[in-house]
Order: sequence, then C-alpha cells, then structure tokens
Amino acid sequence: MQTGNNRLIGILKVLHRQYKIMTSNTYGLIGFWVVAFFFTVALFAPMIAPYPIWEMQFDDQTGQLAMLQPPSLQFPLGTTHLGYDLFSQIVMATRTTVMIGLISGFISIMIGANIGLIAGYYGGLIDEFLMRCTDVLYGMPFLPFVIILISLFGRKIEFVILAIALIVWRTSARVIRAQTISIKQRQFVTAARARGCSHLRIIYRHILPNVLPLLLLYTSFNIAWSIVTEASASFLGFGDGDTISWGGMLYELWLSGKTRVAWWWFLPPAICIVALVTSLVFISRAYEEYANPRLRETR
Amino acid sequence: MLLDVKNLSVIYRMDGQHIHAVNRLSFQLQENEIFGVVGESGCGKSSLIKALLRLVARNGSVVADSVSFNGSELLQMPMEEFRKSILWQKIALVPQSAMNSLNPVYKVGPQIVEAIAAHKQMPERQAREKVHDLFESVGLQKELFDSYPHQFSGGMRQRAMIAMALALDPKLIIMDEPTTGLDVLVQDKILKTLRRIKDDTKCSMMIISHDIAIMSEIATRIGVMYGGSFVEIAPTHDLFKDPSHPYTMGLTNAFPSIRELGKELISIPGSPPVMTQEEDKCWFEPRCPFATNDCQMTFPAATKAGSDHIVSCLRSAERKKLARLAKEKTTWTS
Repeated sequence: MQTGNNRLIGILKVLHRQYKIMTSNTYGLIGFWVVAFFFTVALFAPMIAPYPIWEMQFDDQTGQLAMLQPPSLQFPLGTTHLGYDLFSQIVMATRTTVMIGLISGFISIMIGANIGLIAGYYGGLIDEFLMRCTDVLYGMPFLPFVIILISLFGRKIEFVILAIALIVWRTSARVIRAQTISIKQRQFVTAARARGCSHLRIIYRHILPNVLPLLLLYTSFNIAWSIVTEASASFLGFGDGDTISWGGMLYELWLSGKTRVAWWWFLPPAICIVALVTSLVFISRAYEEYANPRLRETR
Repeated sequence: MLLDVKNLSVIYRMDGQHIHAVNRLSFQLQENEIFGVVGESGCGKSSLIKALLRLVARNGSVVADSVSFNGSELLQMPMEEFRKSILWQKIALVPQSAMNSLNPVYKVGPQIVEAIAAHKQMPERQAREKVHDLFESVGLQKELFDSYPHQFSGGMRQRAMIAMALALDPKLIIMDEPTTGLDVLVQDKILKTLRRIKDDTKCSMMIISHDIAIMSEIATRIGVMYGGSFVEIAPTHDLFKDPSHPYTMGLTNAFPSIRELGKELISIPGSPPVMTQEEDKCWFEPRCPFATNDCQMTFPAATKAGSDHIVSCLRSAERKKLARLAKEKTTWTS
C-alpha cells in the first residue's frame, strides 16, 4: 500500500511537471486548455449530444422536416440537408477525431522512437536498412498512400488508424535517431557498457530517458499530423462510414452540394480542425523550447 | 597471479591503413597491488584498457597469445558470459572523465542501486544498504544519495564512480586517469581513499595516468608505456632510482623535483610514433639519444634489470652510464 501511494504521488509529480512544461509560455497555455476542452468533449460526447447523429429532426414550431436550417435555439448549429442535427454531429465527431489522433499518434511515436533508437544505437547495417526504409516512406506521397492502404483494407476505423500511424512515424524516427547518435557518444553510455549492461538496457534505460523531451515533442506533433491526415482522408471519402469525424462532415457537405449556402455546416468542423491542430502545435512548441533551451533565449 | 597478459596487440583499420595501437604488450598483475601505467598521449593506454574490457570499437581487432585473468582466458570467453560474469563483477572500470560517467537524468544513489539490483538480482532494500555503505567508504555523505549528478562537484562525482566500481567487490579495478581535472587537494584525498580501499578490500588496481608524480605517490609498481607496449616495468622505488630505459630517463627528467628547484626541465624532443605496420625495431629509436644501428632492426626483448625489474632496451646493460648521460640537457638536444 505504501509503495502504491508513493507510485501515485510519483505519477502526479510527473504529470504536474509535464503541465508546467506545456504551459511555460502563453501559446502553450492556450494550447493546453483548448486541447483539454476538446478531450473533455470527446470523453463525454454521448452525454452532450442532444440528438442521435443520423436521425431526421423535425422543427418544433412547423412540425416539418428541419432541412438546412441555420442555427437556432432548437438546433444550436443548424441542420443538414437531410435534417440531421449538426451540433450533435460535431460533438460525436470530436470523439472520433480525438480517438484517431491519440491512437495513431501513440502508435506512430512508438514505431518512430523504437526505429530511431535502434538505428541510432546499433549503427552500421541495421541503421542503413532502417533509415532506407524510412527514406522509402518519405518517397511515398502522403495522401495517396493512406488512401490506397484504406481502400486495400477497407474503410474501417482500425485500418484508418493503422494507415495513418504507418506513415506519420517517419519524421520522429529520423529525429530520434539523430539524438540517439549524439547521446550514445556520451561518457555514461561507455561507462554502462563497461559495467556489462546489455544493449537493450542501455537503449531503454540510459538513452531513452535522455531523448524523452524530444519524444514528447514528437508525440504531440504526431497527434496533430494524424488528425490532419484523418481529416484529409475523410474529406475525400476514405473515412469509416459507420462513424462520423470532422473531415467526414465536410465530405457530407461537399456531397450535398450546399457548400456556398450552408456556412453553419462548413465553419464548425473547419474551425475545430484548425483549433485542435494549432493547439497541439503550440504544445509541441512549448516542448521544443524545453528540449532546446537556445530557443528560449532568442525569444 | 591475478592477470597475465602475453603479446597483446590491438590493431585498428582506418582508411585502408592498419594502426597498431597496442603492440605485442606483456605484463603481469599480482593480487593486492596498485599497478600504475604511465605514458604520453597516444601511446596506447586507452586501447589497452578497452582490449582488457573487450570494448574495442568495431574497426579494431585484438590478438594475444594469452590474456589470463584468475586462470580463465578473457578473450576466448563468449561475449555474453564475459559481459555477465566478468565485467563489473570481477573487473570494474572507473572511466576517464568520470565526471560525465553518471547518467544525468537519474539521481546518483538510486542509479547505483538500480544497477546493482539488475546485475545481482539483489532485493532493492539490500542494494540500498550496500550503496549507503559504499558512499561511506568513498567519503560521500549519505545525504547526497538523492542528488542529481549535476549537483555534485567533480571530486564527488569521481567518488561516486569509484563507489559504483566497488559495488560488486571486484578483484581488479581499472582506473583511467582518476585524478585528471581535479585540483591538487582533491587529488590527494582521492589517492588516500584509493589506498584505503585497496587495504580494506584486498583488490588490485590498475591506474592509468600520464602524471608520473601521482603514480610515484600511489603505485606499488609502475609500467612505462611507449609505442603500444611496456618499455619498462619496475617497483616504484626502483623505477625512479634506477631508470633503465632511455624513455623512462627522459620522463623522469621532464618532471620537477622538489629537491632540485629551479633546475630547468628537460623534455624529450619529437612525438610518439604512429605505427602503421608491425616492424622489428625499437619504436623509441627516432627520439632516443643513445640509439645505435641495431635499434632500427631489432625489436628489443624484455630483459631483467633487477629482481622485479624488466626493461626492453638493447643497451640495458649500459643503463647506469646512460642514466648519468641522460641527466645532461645536451644529450637530448644535440
């Protein structure tokens, strides 16, 4: 019990420290709270959304199908041409988008970090092989790759997540490899080797904690990129048809052909995408300043 | 005998060239002694350590007739076994610039505890007690246990590294430049600590340094390295009283003596050789004032110059005369 409590306190301390880093400048502070807002909405989405997302709604006053209505008291963000409530849609879409962003963000940083650490630490042929694989991924045009993957595997949310993760990791792998190469030259790594530490132990116990700030920076970055990619793919109609996302809402709007008229349909998802991605980039910047103190001085 | 090295060579491949960093080196190490290795930069000291610990970089190869530690052949042992049963357990290293040898992201005490626990499958509580004892024996206060390396001074970090090396009661501790970068008072304290540890734990130490003055203070025996092998090995007292290799004579000239204050120091002209091939010649010959034609054609074998005194010089029989001549500045400059 004692150790359990200590561990909890330890975790809280770490979280508090992360909060301090993220909010160390104004942009980071804004970013943190915007992201926190979206995450909360995502968490409680079914409780917030007033209507089912794919159910035709009727106007309370006229009793008619609420087609393409601008925002009103009954429908805070208006309705679509089929009478679906847009507020409910955007709330539920937040959940999908945040989930896809988080999961593919984390998968991609896992792949990127491991490939970067292993390539950087071992060097030689292993490095050569892994980095050429990364180069091949760089040669792939981003969206077509995702689209082909999704069309191959099907428009299921798991595959969307996987497809995004498989392409987003490349930059983090490169950056973490570079940092690993620099850290493995440091004296404490040699000292660890002279103590008979295994390679895995050196990589994950001695080098990984030293690349952690960079890792967090790229986690945040990868989440942002995953969200952008998901929005793009969904907008082109390659999202999961059974769930709704911000990109998917824009796709529906495009299909309906009402883009010019229905500003209330177009603006909220667009603003949400921009706001969330920008906030994540703000957080990345706060981490970047932390990882690279020289940036702090020039500000 | 603890360590017996016979004809050890370390050869690096670089841009198609072969650099012989350690060249047919032999020496023996007894139990419970402090063996000092001196030599100028580039004479192969670091490569010798790396070869003993099998940490030579991938472009280097190590060959030897025998490197026998406590009866087992170190170089023939499977790497995994060597890593698990020899490194740190039996042979521990205090690396050069120990100041940077602690991982900056972990606290010092827990860092050592964790390392011990992982290596020995020792319960953490027991490892903690062990580290507390170690801190005490190297002269670190227990309150420093939960500090980060950057909060330590250079001397404290050096002590922490010594504590780390001692953790598993090794038979041999190799120290690479243990006092470099520390001020004289701290140097002195560290040397005292080392001597006490040696007496307490009965381990052997091999101390590598370019500072012959430090060596004279702590080592029981000194080996002088030149061109990748030992040119002279002798008990400390004998080495200074009766230097038998011209290089040793030159080295002792180059350090100030308290009894001969004001006397101009004599340095050895030239710089150490880069050995790109194995040649049967004396590598000190180009800088040696006493060189003869034979020196260019024969690799000088180790000969006895005393009961425990070994020298590799063709003219070692004339050593008394040469030592007298070596005291004169004109011998080295002309």
